[in-house]
Amino acid sequence: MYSNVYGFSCIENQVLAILSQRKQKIELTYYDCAIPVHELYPIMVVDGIKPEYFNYIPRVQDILRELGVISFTMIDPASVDDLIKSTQLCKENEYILIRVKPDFTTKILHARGFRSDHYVLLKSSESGFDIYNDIPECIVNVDKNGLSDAYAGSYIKMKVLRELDLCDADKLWASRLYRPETQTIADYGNHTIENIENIGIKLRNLTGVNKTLKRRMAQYYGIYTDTSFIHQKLPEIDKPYAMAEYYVLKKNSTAEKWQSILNDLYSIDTEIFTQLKSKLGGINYA
Amino acid sequence: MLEQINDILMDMAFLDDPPSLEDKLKDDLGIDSLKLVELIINLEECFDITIEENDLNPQNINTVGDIVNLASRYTGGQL
Repeated sequence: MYSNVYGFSCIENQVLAILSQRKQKIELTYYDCAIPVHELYPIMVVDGIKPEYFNYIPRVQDILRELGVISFTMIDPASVDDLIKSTQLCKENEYILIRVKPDFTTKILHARGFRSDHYVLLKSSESGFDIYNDIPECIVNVDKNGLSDAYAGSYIKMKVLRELDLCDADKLWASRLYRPETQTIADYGNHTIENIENIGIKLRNLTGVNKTLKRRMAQYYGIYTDTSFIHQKLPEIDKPYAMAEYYVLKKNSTAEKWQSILNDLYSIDTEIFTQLKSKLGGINYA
Repeated sequence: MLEQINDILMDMAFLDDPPSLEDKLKDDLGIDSLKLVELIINLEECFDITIEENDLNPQNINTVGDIVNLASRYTGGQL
């Protein structure tokens, strides 16, 4: 359910997975994904923004709500009885996302729990309630007492109102801030790593966000042109993420190793953005 | 060696039974890319080896079997 969705948060993953299961073109929501690494650098390395708080592009649920594709209402606070009633009355196009307690997140779902507010999909089942978690992907069945133990006191009611359509596609295309078809940057970055506190963790975080953005680019621009060249680059993009985490955990990194990771990412960006610009150049956007 | 690897995997993936060699690390055991790095470091510590950077490629390490093969190459160990 969650393997081919690329959200920056648990809520994004849940919303994307729900719409994907309903056969909607979720890749349209990735529209503003062409953010180069050299633009991520000041955000994630200089300012130190963590991935779980990366909000430089609109959240998927906000995009969809503005388009009128979904309604998305937070019910806070709400008793567990109110939650159960709402869940049991859900129609085919209605979904409940519940906030779960940190202990439940880490000990039962085995999720990392980077943020204190973790949301999961809740459905009524014959044997109580099924809780659907995004990462790691799992389904946990609970009874009413188990639900009370897991539930953190608020939930979101989401209703799918209509399908994403061509008008939405045009609107989203036009509203992009990052437009690879017209970017005229000569090179894709030349930051030199200097004395930055926790450089390793920050670069690891940058590589993680970059991984997700490049997957979004492959899917979104895949609507308009052949992006197989981006798919082919994904292993090269994933490796710096693994290397960065390895260096962070082993505590054996040097400035040269971090610079090498950054330079590799810039080099990959140059290839991808140059090729994408060339491919998009022949498309009539009128 | 296989038993030691299985112990590490069962601990990391919260399994009651040992996984099979065909089990996929991400889809079946929930070991994502960050946890994979943690797994590799656990292997290094368990077997007193250092995995070369060229072998730290997530694309080449997808199954339990891949992990066993990787460890075997560095330890010369038998299953």
